[in-house]
Amino acid sequence: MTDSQLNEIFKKQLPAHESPVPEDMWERIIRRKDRDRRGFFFFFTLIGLFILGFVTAGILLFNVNRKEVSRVKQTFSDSNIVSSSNNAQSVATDPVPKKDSSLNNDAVHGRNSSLHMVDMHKDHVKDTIPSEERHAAFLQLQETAKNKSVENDQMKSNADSVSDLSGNADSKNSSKTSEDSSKLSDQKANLAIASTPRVLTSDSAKNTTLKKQDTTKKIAGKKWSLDLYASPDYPIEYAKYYVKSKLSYSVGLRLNRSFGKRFSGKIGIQFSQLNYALPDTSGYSNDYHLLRLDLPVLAGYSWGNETFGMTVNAGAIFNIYSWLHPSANYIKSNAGLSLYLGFNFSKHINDRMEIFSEPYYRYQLSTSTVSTFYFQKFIDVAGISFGARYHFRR
Amino acid sequence: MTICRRYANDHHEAEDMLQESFIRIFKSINQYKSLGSFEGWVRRITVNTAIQFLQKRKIRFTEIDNMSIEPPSSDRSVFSDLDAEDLLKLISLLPDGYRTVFNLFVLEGYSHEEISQMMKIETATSRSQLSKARAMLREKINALQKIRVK
Repeated sequence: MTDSQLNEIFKKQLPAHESPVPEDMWERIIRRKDRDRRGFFFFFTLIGLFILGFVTAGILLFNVNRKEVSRVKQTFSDSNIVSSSNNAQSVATDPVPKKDSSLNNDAVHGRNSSLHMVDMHKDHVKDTIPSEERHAAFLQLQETAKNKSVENDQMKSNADSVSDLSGNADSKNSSKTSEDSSKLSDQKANLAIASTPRVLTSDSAKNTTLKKQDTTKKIAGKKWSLDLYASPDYPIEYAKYYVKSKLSYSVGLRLNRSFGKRFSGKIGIQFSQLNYALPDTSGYSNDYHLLRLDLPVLAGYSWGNETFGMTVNAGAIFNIYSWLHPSANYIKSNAGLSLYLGFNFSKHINDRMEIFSEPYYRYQLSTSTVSTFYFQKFIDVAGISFGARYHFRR
Repeated sequence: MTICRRYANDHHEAEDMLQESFIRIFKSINQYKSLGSFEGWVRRITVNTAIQFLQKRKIRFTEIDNMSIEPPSSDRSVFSDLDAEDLLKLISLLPDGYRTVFNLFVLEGYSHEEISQMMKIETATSRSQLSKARAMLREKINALQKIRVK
């Protein structure tokens, strides 16, 4: 028999042939269409959840920062009031130098105090302003201080000449000196008013920053921490339309080690039960539970403050052992590798404890079914973990 | 359903192919232009869906060496005794690659060049797969003949 004869036989018989279609095929198609729509909505719900999480985190972070800024502002204004009143008091109580000798001392003291103020400014500037600006500001302040000292020197020499002329000085000179000295006192007072609040503000800001750093340090200083979490999750299967996923759960323990302020590594153990329904040939739906023991190995990048933090966790989850209940021989005992991405939002309760929630997605790289089975079963999981973190002592 | 059964490994897979084809038909029904026959359009979607199913499964166009290329002698009357269901069963016994190329060439009427583009294989591979599919079918028919004679 030739090739064309063989072809003819198949061409003649098959195109006109009608295979029986299962009775419920139409219902299945409609169900599948609805399921596709549900999947579409589920996808958008998931994205919505992530966006909501980010927005919440953003708002919380923003609020906390704003509170801190207002707290610092409040401290600033308080210290301003206090220092202004103090200065006013000091100005009021400062005796205006009447004698020429006191003028001389004041002139010297004025020079010293202005240099001292430069030093104090230097400290303040060092704390609050970036290095380049700091340098420029420092030079400017030095220049001002020099000018002041030149002025003071002039005044000193005036005072000296006045004291040299002691007794011979006429009332005109004396009044001029007195004017000069009062001018110097005013300048001193002005300088004191101008500089003291800044120094006080710098101190209070420094205190706030130190306090903040101290708390952060307390938390950041603890390199090791332990997470305990549980998560309602939902298996997403791409195997068959009639495999119906059901609400499932995961529980786990994770040991965290921070590397610096932002980076961390995590390793742990996790148990998951993935529930789904699979109808048998009669159409009756049976419940199955795929049980998994996994080893998550993740890396994290964090940001936030001492109150609220966010960490992006990503990494791999190695399956240690998988089994099905009721047991079936088509499930592999090791489902292999899956990828993990989660966004962890945490809140400190005290310096040792945190609570957190972590929406996540686990992407299965290899099939959970054996190769001889008639379909391949990839099970991704989406869920949200809730848990607590304990920071160990150093 | 017959088209799906020709490409599928088993009945379950054929049902999946049919279902997927219908979903695609529903989704793209507005793209149908009344230039050709509706049946032909539906058929083309079904074949494309079946091919995509196979591509997802990453079918291998491997060749079985211990098979005689020479057509064994077979009586044409044996073929006339076979009905469509028998032929479908024979096709389903072919390896994925053989079955796909045989279906596309013999039953859908595609050329080897078109098959090579569709399946992303060499033209020579397509030819060789077809020739081996035919040889395997003849072999199986002969085996069937022997069983029937007994």
